[in-house]
Amino acid sequence: MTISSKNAASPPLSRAIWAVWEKDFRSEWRSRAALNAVALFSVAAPVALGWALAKQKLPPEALGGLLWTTLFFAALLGLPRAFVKEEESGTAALLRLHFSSDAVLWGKVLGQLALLGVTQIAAVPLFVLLLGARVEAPLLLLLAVVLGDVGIAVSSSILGAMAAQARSKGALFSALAVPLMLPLLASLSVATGAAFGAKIDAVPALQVVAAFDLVLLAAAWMTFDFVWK
Amino acid sequence: MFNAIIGIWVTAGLIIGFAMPSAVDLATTPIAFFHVPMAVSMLLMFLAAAFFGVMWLRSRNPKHDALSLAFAEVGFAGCIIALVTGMVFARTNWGAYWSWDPQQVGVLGTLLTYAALFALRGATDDDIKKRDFWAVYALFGVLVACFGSYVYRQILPPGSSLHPNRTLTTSDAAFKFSLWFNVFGYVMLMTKIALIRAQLEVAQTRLKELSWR
Repeated sequence: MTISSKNAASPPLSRAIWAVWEKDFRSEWRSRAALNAVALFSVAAPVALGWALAKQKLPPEALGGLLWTTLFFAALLGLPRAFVKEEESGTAALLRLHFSSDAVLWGKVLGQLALLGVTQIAAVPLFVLLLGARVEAPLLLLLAVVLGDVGIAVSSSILGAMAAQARSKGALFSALAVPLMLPLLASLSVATGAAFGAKIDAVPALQVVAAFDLVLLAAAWMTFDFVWK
Repeated sequence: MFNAIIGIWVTAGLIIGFAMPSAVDLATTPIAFFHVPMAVSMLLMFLAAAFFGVMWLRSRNPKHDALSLAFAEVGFAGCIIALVTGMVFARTNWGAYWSWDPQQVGVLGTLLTYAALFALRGATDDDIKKRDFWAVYALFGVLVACFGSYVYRQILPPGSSLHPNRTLTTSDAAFKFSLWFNVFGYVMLMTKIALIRAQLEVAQTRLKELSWR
């Protein structure tokens, strides 16, 4: 808990989270820098894969891995912007003054989730269409995408906050995020492969993703104060 | 005295490892007696690094940060040794140095995570932030280490991993003795190195502070 969050004049947490999210949404809506980067990569990557793998019939396990590699690298392009732009434009200090670290963390996580959700509404169907994947368990795919997005949003928020305050921000964010998200990427690939028809039990993989999400949420909540203050 | 005990213990472990006959049904070569204990010791070092990272966040005592750094460095060296000895083991048992075995990939992921942790420490100028970021990422890093070492192969279909599954739970008394004898020896050795490295880090920090006065 920060000094500002102890202040009686500071807004309640839910309103503060909403305010942080709304500020990010308005700012992103004006420039659409992160949205354009993530959306364009999410669309361009399946097209490039389609060309490179023209007419090859890929097994569902490989399709699951390719989908998450595409979504993951798309996320790496846009997600660090949430904190980097605060540091670059000098608004990070204002955020620290006005909102508790909890409000900033959850507001940013919601923003990241919205960005991922908006781009994936287009990117996932396009991937399925272009690479000829057959979605045999749509609910399983949806569950994998939702759980995966939660993990990516939380980890990218805390890593983005660290990278934004260090040198070589963008490159450092990728170096930090890639290994940390490997367990998510690996488990989600297995679960999504099952959704595409692979003869694999998706339950253990989804349990790992859910457990990883929970641990990330708890660890981010407990440690964000040290990263952000 | 403690140094002599460690030296004798580790040497005895090496001799036992080479003298030990292959355990039944485990496809072991002598290197398994060093590779598996090194992998277990590596994980313990990373857990210690995360523990002292959390201690730094709570106490703000630079000694805890130095211990966290030292245990992570020693664990990182152990991770490289575990990976290389694992590749030798893989060449002997599976015919190739690299087979994309889930456990091999997991250890490689762990190695990348801790390499990123060192990069993060080097990329931050402010001393307090550097230590805070380190502690937080070390906590996340141990999650990747646990996933890579144990969890990943559990979620894959049976038969995906080439690794023998019963290495740590085998009932072969001779194998079990050699394994845990070496684990204990390596943990003592790595802890001793980490303590010396932490002392060096504390001294360096102190010198830096004095040079600013």
